[in-house]
Amino acid sequence: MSRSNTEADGNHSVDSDHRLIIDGINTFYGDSHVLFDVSLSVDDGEIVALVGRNGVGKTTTIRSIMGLTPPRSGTIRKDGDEITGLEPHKIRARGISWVPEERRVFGGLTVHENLRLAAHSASEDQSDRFEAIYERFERLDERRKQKAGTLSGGEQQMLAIARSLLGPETDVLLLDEPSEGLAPQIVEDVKDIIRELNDDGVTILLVEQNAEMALGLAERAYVLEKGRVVHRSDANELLTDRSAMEEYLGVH
Amino acid sequence: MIESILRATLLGLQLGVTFALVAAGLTLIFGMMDVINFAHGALYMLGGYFGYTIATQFGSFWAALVLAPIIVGVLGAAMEKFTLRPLYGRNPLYHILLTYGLAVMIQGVVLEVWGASSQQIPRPGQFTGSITVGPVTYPTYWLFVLVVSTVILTVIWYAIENSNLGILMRASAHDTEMVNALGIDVSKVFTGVFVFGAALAALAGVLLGATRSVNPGMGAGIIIEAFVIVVIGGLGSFKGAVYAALLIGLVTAYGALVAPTLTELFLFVLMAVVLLVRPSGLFGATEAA
Repeated sequence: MSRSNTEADGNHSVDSDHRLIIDGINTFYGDSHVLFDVSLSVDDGEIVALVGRNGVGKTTTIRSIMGLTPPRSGTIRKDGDEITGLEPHKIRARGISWVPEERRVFGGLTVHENLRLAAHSASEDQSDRFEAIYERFERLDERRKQKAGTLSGGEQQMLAIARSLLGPETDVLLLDEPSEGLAPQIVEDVKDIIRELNDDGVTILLVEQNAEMALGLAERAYVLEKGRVVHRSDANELLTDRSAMEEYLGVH
Repeated sequence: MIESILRATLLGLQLGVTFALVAAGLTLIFGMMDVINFAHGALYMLGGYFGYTIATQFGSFWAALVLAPIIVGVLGAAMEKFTLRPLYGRNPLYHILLTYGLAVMIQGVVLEVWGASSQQIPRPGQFTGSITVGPVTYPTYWLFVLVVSTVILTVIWYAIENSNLGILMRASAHDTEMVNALGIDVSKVFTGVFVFGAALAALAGVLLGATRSVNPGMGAGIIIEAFVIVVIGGLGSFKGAVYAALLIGLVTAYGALVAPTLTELFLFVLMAVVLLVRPSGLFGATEAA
Protein backbone atom coordinates (compact mmCIF):
# COMPACT_ATOMS: atom_id res chain seq x y z
CA MET A 1 0.00 0.00 0.00
CA SER A 2 1.70 3.14 -1.16
CA ARG A 3 -0.43 5.62 0.74
CA SER A 4 -2.27 5.22 3.97
CA ASN A 5 -4.79 7.45 5.51
CA THR A 6 -4.98 8.86 8.99
CA GLU A 7 -8.00 7.00 10.24
CA ALA A 8 -7.66 3.60 11.80
CA ASP A 9 -7.44 0.63 9.52
CA GLY A 10 -10.72 -1.16 10.18
CA ASN A 11 -9.86 -4.49 8.62
CA HIS A 12 -9.44 -6.42 11.80
CA SER A 13 -11.60 -4.38 14.08
CA VAL A 14 -15.04 -5.48 15.22
CA ASP A 15 -16.21 -1.89 15.49
CA SER A 16 -20.01 -2.01 15.19
CA ASP A 17 -19.97 1.03 12.88
CA HIS A 18 -18.73 -1.20 10.11
CA ARG A 19 -21.63 -2.27 7.94
CA LEU A 20 -19.40 -4.18 5.59
CA ILE A 21 -15.87 -5.45 6.08
CA ILE A 22 -13.95 -7.15 3.32
CA ASP A 23 -10.81 -8.70 4.65
CA GLY A 24 -8.06 -9.99 2.39
CA ILE A 25 -10.17 -11.59 -0.31
CA ASN A 26 -8.67 -13.41 -3.29
CA THR A 27 -11.04 -14.01 -6.17
CA PHE A 28 -10.54 -15.99 -9.36
CA TYR A 29 -12.32 -16.44 -12.66
CA GLY A 30 -11.41 -20.03 -13.40
CA ASP A 31 -7.63 -20.10 -13.18
CA SER A 32 -7.17 -16.39 -13.55
CA HIS A 33 -6.41 -14.61 -10.28
CA VAL A 34 -8.28 -11.30 -10.29
CA LEU A 35 -8.33 -9.92 -6.74
CA PHE A 36 -5.24 -10.05 -4.51
CA ASP A 37 -5.85 -9.64 -0.76
CA VAL A 38 -8.40 -6.90 -1.22
CA SER A 39 -9.53 -5.33 2.05
CA LEU A 40 -11.96 -2.51 2.49
CA SER A 41 -14.68 -1.43 4.85
CA VAL A 42 -17.86 0.58 4.57
CA ASP A 43 -19.29 2.23 7.66
CA ASP A 44 -22.95 2.63 8.49
CA GLY A 45 -24.45 5.50 6.47
CA GLU A 46 -21.37 6.13 4.37
CA ILE A 47 -20.89 6.44 0.65
CA VAL A 48 -17.60 4.79 -0.26
CA ALA A 49 -16.19 5.01 -3.77
CA LEU A 50 -14.21 2.19 -5.35
CA VAL A 51 -12.40 3.63 -8.34
CA GLY A 52 -9.71 2.58 -10.77
CA ARG A 53 -9.06 2.05 -14.42
CA ASN A 54 -10.94 -0.42 -16.58
CA GLY A 55 -10.37 -4.08 -15.74
CA VAL A 56 -8.66 -3.68 -12.36
CA GLY A 57 -11.22 -5.75 -10.44
CA LYS A 58 -13.87 -3.25 -9.34
CA THR A 59 -16.78 -5.31 -10.65
CA THR A 60 -15.17 -8.50 -9.34
CA THR A 61 -15.05 -6.95 -5.87
CA ILE A 62 -18.79 -6.27 -6.05
CA ARG A 63 -19.47 -9.76 -7.44
CA SER A 64 -17.45 -11.26 -4.60
CA ILE A 65 -19.51 -9.41 -2.00
CA MET A 66 -22.79 -10.41 -3.65
CA GLY A 67 -21.79 -14.08 -3.75
CA LEU A 68 -21.85 -14.21 -7.56
CA THR A 69 -18.13 -14.95 -7.80
CA PRO A 70 -17.24 -16.07 -4.28
CA PRO A 71 -13.67 -15.42 -3.13
CA ARG A 72 -11.38 -18.42 -2.65
CA SER A 73 -9.91 -16.96 0.52
CA GLY A 74 -10.49 -14.05 2.83
CA THR A 75 -13.69 -13.07 4.59
CA ILE A 76 -16.61 -10.75 4.02
CA ARG A 77 -18.69 -9.61 6.97
CA LYS A 78 -21.97 -7.76 7.12
CA ASP A 79 -22.85 -6.24 10.51
CA GLY A 80 -20.31 -8.56 12.06
CA ASP A 81 -21.69 -11.78 10.53
CA GLU A 82 -19.62 -13.65 8.02
CA ILE A 83 -21.35 -13.90 4.63
CA THR A 84 -18.42 -15.16 2.54
CA GLY A 85 -19.54 -17.66 -0.07
CA LEU A 86 -23.24 -17.59 0.74
CA GLU A 87 -25.54 -17.92 -2.24
CA PRO A 88 -26.61 -14.58 -3.76
CA HIS A 89 -30.23 -14.89 -2.63
CA LYS A 90 -29.11 -15.40 0.97
CA ILE A 91 -26.86 -12.36 0.76
CA ARG A 92 -29.77 -10.34 -0.60
CA ALA A 93 -31.87 -11.52 2.33
CA ARG A 94 -29.29 -9.96 4.64
CA GLY A 95 -29.95 -6.51 3.26
CA ILE A 96 -27.27 -6.24 0.58
CA SER A 97 -28.62 -5.21 -2.80
CA TRP A 98 -26.92 -5.02 -6.18
CA VAL A 99 -27.36 -2.66 -9.10
CA PRO A 100 -25.24 -4.29 -11.80
CA GLU A 101 -23.17 -2.83 -14.55
CA GLU A 102 -25.27 -2.35 -17.67
CA ARG A 103 -28.34 -2.40 -15.41
CA ARG A 104 -29.61 -5.83 -16.52
CA VAL A 105 -33.29 -5.06 -16.31
CA PHE A 106 -35.56 -7.79 -17.67
CA GLY A 107 -36.25 -6.34 -21.09
CA GLY A 108 -39.20 -8.57 -21.97
CA LEU A 109 -40.99 -7.78 -18.70
CA THR A 110 -42.90 -4.56 -18.09
CA VAL A 111 -41.61 -1.99 -15.61
CA HIS A 112 -44.18 -3.15 -13.09
CA GLU A 113 -43.32 -6.83 -13.62
CA ASN A 114 -39.65 -6.05 -13.01
CA LEU A 115 -40.62 -4.52 -9.69
CA ARG A 116 -43.04 -7.34 -8.81
CA LEU A 117 -40.22 -9.80 -9.35
CA ALA A 118 -37.97 -7.88 -6.97
CA ALA A 119 -40.74 -7.78 -4.37
CA HIS A 120 -41.31 -11.54 -4.79
CA SER A 121 -38.74 -12.61 -2.22
CA ALA A 122 -40.08 -10.34 0.52
CA SER A 123 -41.92 -11.99 3.35
CA GLU A 124 -44.44 -9.22 3.91
CA ASP A 125 -46.84 -7.34 1.65
CA GLN A 126 -45.03 -4.58 -0.20
CA SER A 127 -47.87 -2.58 -1.74
CA ASP A 128 -46.99 0.52 0.32
CA ARG A 129 -43.41 0.34 -0.82
CA PHE A 130 -44.47 0.07 -4.46
CA GLU A 131 -46.28 3.37 -4.11
CA ALA A 132 -43.27 4.96 -2.40
CA ILE A 133 -41.06 3.75 -5.25
CA TYR A 134 -43.41 5.14 -7.88
CA GLU A 135 -43.54 8.47 -6.03
CA ARG A 136 -39.78 8.69 -5.99
CA PHE A 137 -39.35 7.54 -9.60
CA GLU A 138 -42.10 9.38 -11.45
CA ARG A 139 -40.85 8.34 -14.85
CA LEU A 140 -41.35 4.71 -13.90
CA ASP A 141 -44.86 5.46 -12.68
CA GLU A 142 -45.71 6.83 -16.13
CA ARG A 143 -44.28 3.73 -17.77
CA ARG A 144 -45.59 0.95 -15.54
CA LYS A 145 -46.96 -1.11 -18.41
CA GLN A 146 -44.12 -0.46 -20.83
CA LYS A 147 -41.57 -3.22 -21.55
CA ALA A 148 -38.34 -2.43 -19.75
CA GLY A 149 -36.37 -3.13 -22.91
CA THR A 150 -37.95 -0.09 -24.57
CA LEU A 151 -36.93 2.36 -21.81
CA SER A 152 -34.11 4.87 -22.28
CA GLY A 153 -30.77 4.20 -20.60
CA GLY A 154 -31.54 6.65 -17.80
CA GLU A 155 -34.95 5.12 -17.19
CA GLN A 156 -33.45 1.63 -17.13
CA GLN A 157 -30.95 2.83 -14.54
CA MET A 158 -33.80 4.20 -12.42
CA LEU A 159 -35.60 0.88 -12.77
CA ALA A 160 -32.47 -1.05 -11.76
CA ILE A 161 -32.13 1.13 -8.66
CA ALA A 162 -35.85 0.93 -7.85
CA ARG A 163 -35.70 -2.84 -8.23
CA SER A 164 -32.85 -3.04 -5.73
CA LEU A 165 -35.00 -1.33 -3.10
CA LEU A 166 -37.91 -3.80 -3.17
CA GLY A 167 -37.84 -7.20 -1.54
CA PRO A 168 -35.96 -7.60 1.73
CA GLU A 169 -35.07 -4.27 3.40
CA THR A 170 -31.96 -2.83 1.73
CA ASP A 171 -29.31 -1.31 4.00
CA VAL A 172 -26.24 -1.75 1.81
CA LEU A 173 -26.39 -0.89 -1.86
CA LEU A 174 -23.67 -2.03 -4.27
CA LEU A 175 -23.79 0.27 -7.29
CA ASP A 176 -21.73 -0.78 -10.29
CA GLU A 177 -21.08 1.95 -12.87
CA PRO A 178 -24.41 3.75 -12.49
CA SER A 179 -23.29 6.62 -14.74
CA GLU A 180 -22.17 4.40 -17.60
CA GLY A 181 -23.53 5.47 -20.97
CA LEU A 182 -25.77 8.21 -19.58
CA ALA A 183 -26.02 11.82 -20.75
CA PRO A 184 -24.53 14.37 -18.32
CA GLN A 185 -27.95 15.65 -17.26
CA ILE A 186 -29.12 12.11 -16.46
CA VAL A 187 -25.91 11.47 -14.50
CA GLU A 188 -26.92 14.44 -12.34
CA ASP A 189 -30.33 12.81 -11.73
CA VAL A 190 -28.64 9.55 -10.76
CA LYS A 191 -26.37 11.45 -8.35
CA ASP A 192 -29.40 13.10 -6.75
CA ILE A 193 -31.01 9.70 -6.25
CA ILE A 194 -27.86 8.26 -4.72
CA ARG A 195 -27.71 11.21 -2.29
CA GLU A 196 -31.40 10.85 -1.41
CA LEU A 197 -31.04 7.13 -0.72
CA ASN A 198 -28.00 7.80 1.42
CA ASP A 199 -29.94 10.48 3.34
CA ASP A 200 -32.57 7.81 3.98
CA GLY A 201 -29.90 5.74 5.69
CA VAL A 202 -28.75 3.39 2.92
CA THR A 203 -25.02 2.63 3.04
CA ILE A 204 -23.50 2.72 -0.43
CA LEU A 205 -20.47 1.18 -2.10
CA LEU A 206 -20.09 2.94 -5.42
CA VAL A 207 -17.97 1.49 -8.21
CA GLU A 208 -17.23 3.98 -10.96
CA GLN A 209 -15.06 4.48 -13.97
CA ASN A 210 -16.16 8.10 -13.77
CA ALA A 211 -13.95 8.87 -10.78
CA GLU A 212 -14.90 12.52 -10.53
CA MET A 213 -18.57 11.67 -10.22
CA ALA A 214 -17.94 9.01 -7.60
CA LEU A 215 -15.50 11.08 -5.56
CA GLY A 216 -17.93 14.02 -5.63
CA LEU A 217 -20.51 11.84 -3.87
CA ALA A 218 -18.38 9.71 -1.58
CA GLU A 219 -16.84 10.43 1.79
CA ARG A 220 -14.05 7.93 1.41
CA ALA A 221 -12.42 6.23 -1.54
CA TYR A 222 -10.37 3.18 -2.39
CA VAL A 223 -8.33 2.87 -5.55
CA LEU A 224 -7.83 -0.52 -7.17
CA GLU A 225 -4.98 -1.31 -9.51
CA LYS A 226 -4.36 -4.76 -11.01
CA GLY A 227 -6.55 -6.40 -8.41
CA ARG A 228 -4.95 -4.70 -5.39
CA VAL A 229 -5.99 -1.80 -3.20
CA VAL A 230 -3.24 0.74 -3.84
CA HIS A 231 -4.66 3.81 -2.18
CA ARG A 232 -7.30 4.83 0.30
CA SER A 233 -8.16 8.24 1.60
CA ASP A 234 -10.93 10.78 1.99
CA ALA A 235 -12.67 11.21 -1.34
CA ASN A 236 -12.02 14.96 -1.36
CA GLU A 237 -8.38 14.46 -0.60
CA LEU A 238 -8.00 12.11 -3.58
CA LEU A 239 -9.99 14.42 -5.82
CA THR A 240 -7.58 17.30 -5.09
CA ASP A 241 -4.44 15.12 -5.21
CA ARG A 242 -3.51 15.70 -8.83
CA SER A 243 -0.58 13.28 -8.87
CA ALA A 244 -2.63 10.43 -7.40
CA MET A 245 -5.52 11.12 -9.77
CA GLU A 246 -3.15 10.98 -12.67
CA GLU A 247 -1.20 7.98 -11.46
CA TYR A 248 -4.12 5.76 -10.55
CA LEU A 249 -6.95 7.00 -12.69
CA GLY A 250 -5.33 8.67 -15.66
CA VAL A 251 -7.20 11.88 -14.92
CA HIS A 252 -5.19 14.98 -15.80
CA MET B 1 -61.63 -35.50 -50.21
CA ILE B 2 -63.12 -32.75 -48.03
CA GLU B 3 -63.94 -35.38 -45.48
CA SER B 4 -60.37 -36.62 -45.18
CA ILE B 5 -59.02 -33.06 -45.00
CA LEU B 6 -61.42 -32.18 -42.18
CA ARG B 7 -60.57 -35.39 -40.40
CA ALA B 8 -56.85 -34.75 -40.80
CA THR B 9 -57.32 -31.22 -39.47
CA LEU B 10 -58.88 -32.46 -36.26
CA LEU B 11 -56.25 -35.19 -35.94
CA GLY B 12 -53.55 -32.59 -36.51
CA LEU B 13 -54.92 -30.23 -33.88
CA GLN B 14 -55.28 -33.09 -31.43
CA LEU B 15 -51.71 -34.18 -32.06
CA GLY B 16 -50.56 -30.56 -31.93
CA VAL B 17 -51.91 -29.85 -28.46
CA THR B 18 -50.42 -33.05 -27.06
CA PHE B 19 -47.08 -32.29 -28.73
CA ALA B 20 -47.31 -28.87 -27.08
CA LEU B 21 -47.63 -30.57 -23.68
CA VAL B 22 -44.39 -32.45 -24.34
CA ALA B 23 -42.54 -29.52 -25.92
CA ALA B 24 -43.62 -27.07 -23.17
CA GLY B 25 -41.45 -28.80 -20.59
CA LEU B 26 -38.54 -29.13 -22.97
CA THR B 27 -38.53 -25.46 -23.89
CA LEU B 28 -39.10 -24.17 -20.34
CA ILE B 29 -36.26 -26.35 -19.02
CA PHE B 30 -33.98 -25.08 -21.75
CA GLY B 31 -35.06 -21.48 -21.21
CA MET B 32 -34.33 -21.50 -17.51
CA MET B 33 -31.48 -23.94 -17.07
CA ASP B 34 -29.89 -24.03 -20.53
CA VAL B 35 -30.24 -27.79 -20.35
CA ILE B 36 -31.08 -29.78 -23.46
CA ASN B 37 -32.98 -32.67 -21.94
CA PHE B 38 -32.71 -35.74 -24.11
CA ALA B 39 -34.45 -37.78 -21.42
CA HIS B 40 -37.64 -35.78 -21.87
CA GLY B 41 -38.99 -38.30 -24.38
CA ALA B 42 -38.24 -41.10 -21.92
CA LEU B 43 -40.34 -39.32 -19.29
CA TYR B 44 -43.17 -39.13 -21.83
CA MET B 45 -42.77 -42.86 -22.43
CA LEU B 46 -42.80 -43.60 -18.69
CA GLY B 47 -46.03 -41.64 -18.49
CA GLY B 48 -47.47 -43.94 -21.14
CA TYR B 49 -46.30 -47.13 -19.39
CA PHE B 50 -47.33 -46.11 -15.88
CA GLY B 51 -50.64 -45.02 -17.39
CA TYR B 52 -51.02 -48.37 -19.11
CA THR B 53 -50.32 -50.34 -15.91
CA ILE B 54 -52.58 -48.20 -13.75
CA ALA B 55 -55.40 -48.24 -16.31
CA THR B 56 -55.27 -52.00 -16.79
CA GLN B 57 -54.64 -52.94 -13.14
CA PHE B 58 -57.20 -50.61 -11.58
CA GLY B 59 -59.47 -50.48 -14.60
CA SER B 60 -59.55 -46.71 -14.50
CA PHE B 61 -58.26 -44.43 -17.25
CA TRP B 62 -58.90 -41.47 -14.95
CA ALA B 63 -56.63 -42.84 -12.24
CA ALA B 64 -53.95 -43.29 -14.90
CA LEU B 65 -54.40 -39.73 -16.13
CA VAL B 66 -53.90 -38.33 -12.63
CA LEU B 67 -51.39 -40.75 -11.08
CA ALA B 68 -48.95 -41.31 -13.95
CA PRO B 69 -47.96 -37.61 -14.16
CA ILE B 70 -47.52 -37.50 -10.38
CA ILE B 71 -45.23 -40.55 -10.36
CA VAL B 72 -43.20 -39.23 -13.29
CA GLY B 73 -43.07 -35.80 -11.62
CA VAL B 74 -41.50 -37.39 -8.52
CA LEU B 75 -38.99 -39.26 -10.71
CA GLY B 76 -38.25 -35.97 -12.48
CA ALA B 77 -37.55 -34.30 -9.14
CA ALA B 78 -35.05 -36.99 -8.25
CA MET B 79 -33.46 -36.79 -11.67
CA GLU B 80 -33.04 -33.01 -11.45
CA LYS B 81 -31.79 -32.99 -7.89
CA PHE B 82 -29.30 -35.84 -8.07
CA THR B 83 -28.05 -35.86 -11.63
CA LEU B 84 -28.60 -32.52 -13.38
CA ARG B 85 -28.03 -30.08 -10.54
CA PRO B 86 -24.30 -30.76 -10.14
CA LEU B 87 -23.84 -29.99 -13.84
CA TYR B 88 -25.53 -26.58 -14.07
CA GLY B 89 -23.28 -23.94 -15.52
CA ARG B 90 -20.99 -26.51 -17.15
CA ASN B 91 -20.47 -27.11 -20.81
CA PRO B 92 -23.84 -28.16 -22.35
CA LEU B 93 -22.16 -31.31 -23.68
CA TYR B 94 -22.30 -32.70 -20.14
CA HIS B 95 -26.07 -32.23 -20.06
CA ILE B 96 -26.43 -33.91 -23.43
CA LEU B 97 -24.33 -36.89 -22.38
CA LEU B 98 -26.10 -37.22 -19.05
CA THR B 99 -29.65 -36.91 -20.32
CA TYR B 100 -28.95 -39.12 -23.32
CA GLY B 101 -27.56 -41.73 -20.94
CA LEU B 102 -30.63 -41.44 -18.74
CA ALA B 103 -32.87 -41.88 -21.78
CA VAL B 104 -31.05 -45.09 -22.75
CA MET B 105 -31.24 -46.39 -19.17
CA ILE B 106 -34.95 -45.68 -18.88
CA GLN B 107 -35.57 -47.41 -22.19
CA GLY B 108 -33.63 -50.44 -20.91
CA VAL B 109 -35.70 -50.57 -17.74
CA VAL B 110 -38.92 -50.26 -19.75
CA LEU B 111 -37.92 -53.19 -21.99
CA GLU B 112 -37.09 -55.25 -18.90
CA VAL B 113 -40.31 -54.47 -17.02
CA TRP B 114 -42.93 -54.18 -19.76
CA GLY B 115 -41.34 -56.07 -22.64
CA ALA B 116 -40.87 -55.10 -26.25
CA SER B 117 -44.42 -55.44 -27.51
CA SER B 118 -46.74 -52.55 -28.16
CA GLN B 119 -49.59 -51.85 -25.77
CA GLN B 120 -52.53 -49.54 -25.83
CA ILE B 121 -54.15 -47.78 -22.89
CA PRO B 122 -57.88 -48.59 -22.88
CA ARG B 123 -59.91 -45.47 -23.56
CA PRO B 124 -62.36 -44.29 -20.90
CA GLY B 125 -65.87 -45.71 -21.39
CA GLN B 126 -67.38 -42.28 -22.06
CA PHE B 127 -65.09 -41.70 -25.02
CA THR B 128 -65.00 -44.98 -26.90
CA GLY B 129 -67.58 -44.00 -29.48
CA SER B 130 -67.52 -41.61 -32.37
CA ILE B 131 -69.41 -38.51 -33.36
CA THR B 132 -70.56 -37.44 -36.80
CA VAL B 133 -70.35 -33.79 -37.69
CA GLY B 134 -71.56 -33.05 -41.22
CA PRO B 135 -69.78 -35.43 -43.57
CA VAL B 136 -67.09 -36.49 -41.08
CA THR B 137 -67.00 -39.03 -38.30
CA TYR B 138 -64.53 -38.43 -35.48
CA PRO B 139 -63.66 -40.61 -32.52
CA THR B 140 -64.99 -38.75 -29.45
CA TYR B 141 -61.69 -39.50 -27.73
CA TRP B 142 -59.91 -37.13 -30.13
CA LEU B 143 -62.26 -34.36 -29.07
CA PHE B 144 -61.64 -35.22 -25.42
CA VAL B 145 -57.84 -35.02 -25.91
CA LEU B 146 -58.21 -31.76 -27.78
CA VAL B 147 -60.33 -30.18 -25.06
CA VAL B 148 -58.31 -31.40 -22.08
CA SER B 149 -54.98 -30.36 -23.59
CA THR B 150 -56.28 -27.00 -24.75
CA VAL B 151 -57.63 -26.21 -21.29
CA ILE B 152 -54.32 -27.14 -19.65
CA LEU B 153 -52.26 -25.14 -22.16
CA THR B 154 -54.52 -22.12 -21.75
CA VAL B 155 -54.15 -22.20 -17.97
CA ILE B 156 -50.35 -22.45 -18.25
CA TRP B 157 -50.28 -19.66 -20.82
CA TYR B 158 -52.36 -17.40 -18.59
CA ALA B 159 -50.19 -18.21 -15.57
CA ILE B 160 -46.96 -17.50 -17.43
CA GLU B 161 -48.28 -14.14 -18.61
CA ASN B 162 -49.83 -13.02 -15.34
CA SER B 163 -48.75 -14.81 -12.17
CA ASN B 164 -45.74 -14.01 -10.03
CA LEU B 165 -44.42 -17.46 -10.86
CA GLY B 166 -44.81 -16.76 -14.57
CA ILE B 167 -42.90 -13.49 -14.23
CA LEU B 168 -40.22 -15.38 -12.35
CA MET B 169 -39.98 -17.99 -15.11
CA ARG B 170 -39.76 -15.42 -17.88
CA ALA B 171 -37.15 -13.44 -15.96
CA SER B 172 -35.10 -16.56 -15.25
CA ALA B 173 -35.12 -17.53 -18.91
CA HIS B 174 -33.59 -14.10 -19.53
CA ASP B 175 -31.04 -13.70 -16.70
CA THR B 176 -30.86 -16.32 -13.97
CA GLU B 177 -28.00 -14.67 -12.11
CA MET B 178 -29.89 -11.40 -11.75
CA VAL B 179 -32.97 -13.24 -10.48
CA ASN B 180 -30.84 -14.99 -7.88
CA ALA B 181 -29.30 -11.69 -6.78
CA LEU B 182 -32.80 -10.27 -6.29
CA GLY B 183 -33.19 -12.71 -3.44
CA ILE B 184 -34.88 -15.62 -5.19
CA ASP B 185 -33.62 -19.17 -4.70
CA VAL B 186 -33.48 -20.17 -8.36
CA SER B 187 -32.50 -23.77 -7.65
CA LYS B 188 -35.96 -24.35 -6.13
CA VAL B 189 -37.54 -22.81 -9.20
CA PHE B 190 -35.42 -25.09 -11.40
CA THR B 191 -36.66 -28.19 -9.60
CA GLY B 192 -40.24 -26.94 -9.82
CA VAL B 193 -40.03 -26.29 -13.54
CA PHE B 194 -38.37 -29.64 -14.20
CA VAL B 195 -41.02 -31.54 -12.25
CA PHE B 196 -43.77 -29.62 -13.99
CA GLY B 197 -42.26 -30.34 -17.41
CA ALA B 198 -41.89 -34.03 -16.58
CA ALA B 199 -45.50 -34.29 -15.39
CA LEU B 200 -46.80 -32.60 -18.56
CA ALA B 201 -44.80 -35.00 -20.73
CA ALA B 202 -46.24 -37.94 -18.77
CA LEU B 203 -49.75 -36.55 -19.15
CA ALA B 204 -49.22 -36.41 -22.91
CA GLY B 205 -47.91 -39.99 -22.73
CA VAL B 206 -51.17 -41.17 -21.18
CA LEU B 207 -53.36 -39.16 -23.55
CA LEU B 208 -51.55 -40.35 -26.67
CA GLY B 209 -51.08 -43.86 -25.26
CA ALA B 210 -54.77 -44.39 -25.83
CA THR B 211 -54.69 -43.32 -29.50
CA ARG B 212 -51.20 -44.09 -30.70
CA SER B 213 -49.58 -46.97 -28.86
CA VAL B 214 -47.40 -47.39 -25.80
CA ASN B 215 -44.10 -48.90 -26.93
CA PRO B 216 -40.40 -48.80 -26.06
CA GLY B 217 -39.62 -46.60 -29.06
CA MET B 218 -42.19 -43.89 -28.31
CA GLY B 219 -39.76 -41.78 -26.27
CA ALA B 220 -37.08 -41.69 -28.92
CA GLY B 221 -39.78 -40.98 -31.50
CA ILE B 222 -41.42 -38.02 -29.80
CA ILE B 223 -38.17 -36.35 -28.81
CA ILE B 224 -37.48 -35.61 -32.48
CA GLU B 225 -40.86 -33.95 -32.96
CA ALA B 226 -40.45 -32.11 -29.67
CA PHE B 227 -37.02 -30.73 -30.59
CA VAL B 228 -38.27 -29.63 -33.99
CA ILE B 229 -41.11 -27.83 -32.21
CA VAL B 230 -38.83 -26.16 -29.68
CA VAL B 231 -36.44 -24.99 -32.39
CA ILE B 232 -39.23 -23.69 -34.64
CA GLY B 233 -40.97 -21.97 -31.73
CA GLY B 234 -37.76 -20.39 -30.43
CA LEU B 235 -35.69 -21.91 -27.64
CA GLY B 236 -37.19 -21.09 -24.25
CA SER B 237 -40.48 -19.68 -25.49
CA PHE B 238 -43.67 -21.36 -24.27
CA LYS B 239 -45.80 -19.33 -26.65
CA GLY B 240 -43.55 -20.36 -29.53
CA ALA B 241 -43.76 -24.02 -28.55
CA VAL B 242 -47.56 -23.96 -28.62
CA TYR B 243 -47.76 -22.37 -32.07
CA ALA B 244 -45.03 -24.61 -33.46
CA ALA B 245 -46.65 -27.72 -31.96
CA LEU B 246 -49.95 -26.94 -33.70
CA LEU B 247 -48.04 -26.41 -36.93
CA ILE B 248 -46.19 -29.71 -36.56
CA GLY B 249 -49.38 -31.54 -35.59
CA LEU B 250 -51.11 -30.31 -38.74
CA VAL B 251 -48.12 -31.03 -40.97
CA THR B 252 -47.94 -34.56 -39.56
CA ALA B 253 -51.64 -35.17 -40.15
CA TYR B 254 -51.76 -33.66 -43.65
CA GLY B 255 -48.46 -35.29 -44.50
CA ALA B 256 -49.90 -38.70 -43.60
CA LEU B 257 -52.71 -37.95 -46.02
CA VAL B 258 -50.40 -37.09 -48.94
CA ALA B 259 -47.30 -39.19 -48.40
CA PRO B 260 -47.28 -41.20 -45.16
CA THR B 261 -43.66 -42.25 -45.53
CA LEU B 262 -42.40 -38.70 -45.88
CA THR B 263 -43.95 -36.99 -42.82
CA GLU B 264 -40.67 -36.81 -40.94
CA LEU B 265 -39.05 -35.25 -43.97
CA PHE B 266 -41.79 -32.58 -44.03
CA LEU B 267 -40.98 -31.71 -40.39
CA PHE B 268 -37.33 -31.08 -41.14
CA VAL B 269 -38.06 -29.15 -44.31
CA LEU B 270 -40.42 -26.95 -42.29
CA MET B 271 -37.76 -26.46 -39.63
CA ALA B 272 -35.14 -25.54 -42.23
CA VAL B 273 -37.48 -23.02 -43.84
CA VAL B 274 -38.35 -21.38 -40.52
CA LEU B 275 -34.70 -21.18 -39.51
CA LEU B 276 -33.74 -19.64 -42.85
CA VAL B 277 -36.36 -16.93 -42.43
CA ARG B 278 -36.05 -16.47 -38.65
CA PRO B 279 -32.81 -17.98 -37.33
CA SER B 280 -33.93 -17.73 -33.70
CA GLY B 281 -37.31 -19.37 -34.33
CA LEU B 282 -40.79 -17.86 -34.32
CA PHE B 283 -40.54 -16.43 -30.81
CA GLY B 284 -36.83 -16.78 -30.16
CA ALA B 285 -34.30 -14.58 -28.37
CA THR B 286 -35.18 -11.40 -30.31
CA GLU B 287 -38.23 -11.14 -28.07
CA ALA B 288 -36.37 -11.05 -24.75
CA ALA B 289 -37.59 -13.43 -22.03
